[in-house]
Amino acid sequence: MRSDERGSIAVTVALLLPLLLTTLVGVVQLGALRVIAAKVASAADLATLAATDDQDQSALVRTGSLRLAPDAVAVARTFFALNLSTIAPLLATTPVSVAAQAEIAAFADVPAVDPLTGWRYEHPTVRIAVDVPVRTPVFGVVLPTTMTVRVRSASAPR
Amino acid sequence: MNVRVVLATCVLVMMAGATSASADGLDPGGGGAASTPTPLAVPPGLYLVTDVYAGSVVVSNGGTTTYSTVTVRATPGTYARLLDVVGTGAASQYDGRSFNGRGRLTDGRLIAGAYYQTFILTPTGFVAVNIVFFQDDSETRTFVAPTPVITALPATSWAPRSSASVAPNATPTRTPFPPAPTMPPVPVAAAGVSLASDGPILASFEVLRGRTVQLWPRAFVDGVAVPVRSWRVVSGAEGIGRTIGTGTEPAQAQWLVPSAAPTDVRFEVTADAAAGRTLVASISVVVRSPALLQ
Repeated sequence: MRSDERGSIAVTVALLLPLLLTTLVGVVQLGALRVIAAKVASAADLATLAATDDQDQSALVRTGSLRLAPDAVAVARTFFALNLSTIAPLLATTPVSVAAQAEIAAFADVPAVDPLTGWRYEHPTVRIAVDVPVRTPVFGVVLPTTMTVRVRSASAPR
Repeated sequence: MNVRVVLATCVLVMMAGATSASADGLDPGGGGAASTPTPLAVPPGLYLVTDVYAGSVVVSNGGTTTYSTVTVRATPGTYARLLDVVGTGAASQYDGRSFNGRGRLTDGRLIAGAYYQTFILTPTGFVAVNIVFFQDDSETRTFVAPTPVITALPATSWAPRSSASVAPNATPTRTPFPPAPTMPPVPVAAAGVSLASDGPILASFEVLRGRTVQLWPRAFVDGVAVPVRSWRVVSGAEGIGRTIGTGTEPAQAQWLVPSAAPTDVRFEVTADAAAGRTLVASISVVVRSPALLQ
């Protein structure tokens, strides 16, 4: 290598290094975002499962059929907030606030069609639909620091 | 009815003051001595009851009146022995000692039949419970219209031909038959299962996996709920805690595996109000599990 080429390589590396670092950080951030989305979805899933498990015992005695408890929506909201608390640092707002803004519905009378999702339910179902704002600090350089994870979860006894 | 084959009982029920030991004896496979693995030595003359006394029946067909006994095929775990076989009109030392009494023919003679004594097995041995009379008799009377009877007899009474006196100068009177004996009404007994002690009877129900429910076998006579004396699970016992119990306790049930098809749980129920009968109650269960909808 000739001595006059050394300068051009250094310039090239200096120019490309930020781009490489940015790409690397972006990949890491996207992976983290997927993990966060999975955690939020799990929080919603577990909340709907807990609400589905909350059955109306008196209705069961009277009719022999499973029926969601009257407080199924409240149970789902409470559990959703509790489940989100484990990833609270990753959220752009508080877990309670996220749970409060979630659209939670209980479909006790079936079959039914969910007007929000269009899903058809054959069994009593609890559904959570929510857009959860999460932090993306690495993106802060070139992208918004807050992104939204959309979650749709429904559970029923089958 | 072959009385010799029929082994009696009924009774346990009639004894309001039955002891807990007696109740144990009622439960096949229960905690009494009957469930011990050692072979049971039954004293000579004692038989395992396989046909249970259900009631005495008087049926009139034309001029023939039949006195018989209705039994129900059941094995309540009691024992019996034959005490005495008596003919028509013959007295027995057991007259007046049976819980169901011994009736009389229309001519006043005692009905023929057999006395049986019922026993239950307790940890201390066989305990006599009561005596039951299985009636087995009939009488035939012939209606002779022109037979004159003495006018001193009440016009509405029926006089057996053998006891009629002939008075040539008496006015021929058509003697009416007495009211035909009718079969006593047999109470309709039924059983079912509910999820509460006072809940409605259900044919089926759903339950979440792992959730404990109480199954209450219940009995009804003529549509009215009656106390259950004992129950036992005869099929579908998977998921049932105890498979025998009394009327004051439910069967605790819990299923851990969701079922693709309904499972039938069948009980045998005994009740004092349906003495001598074993009622069958069944309920179908579907086990479900909370699941995510994708």
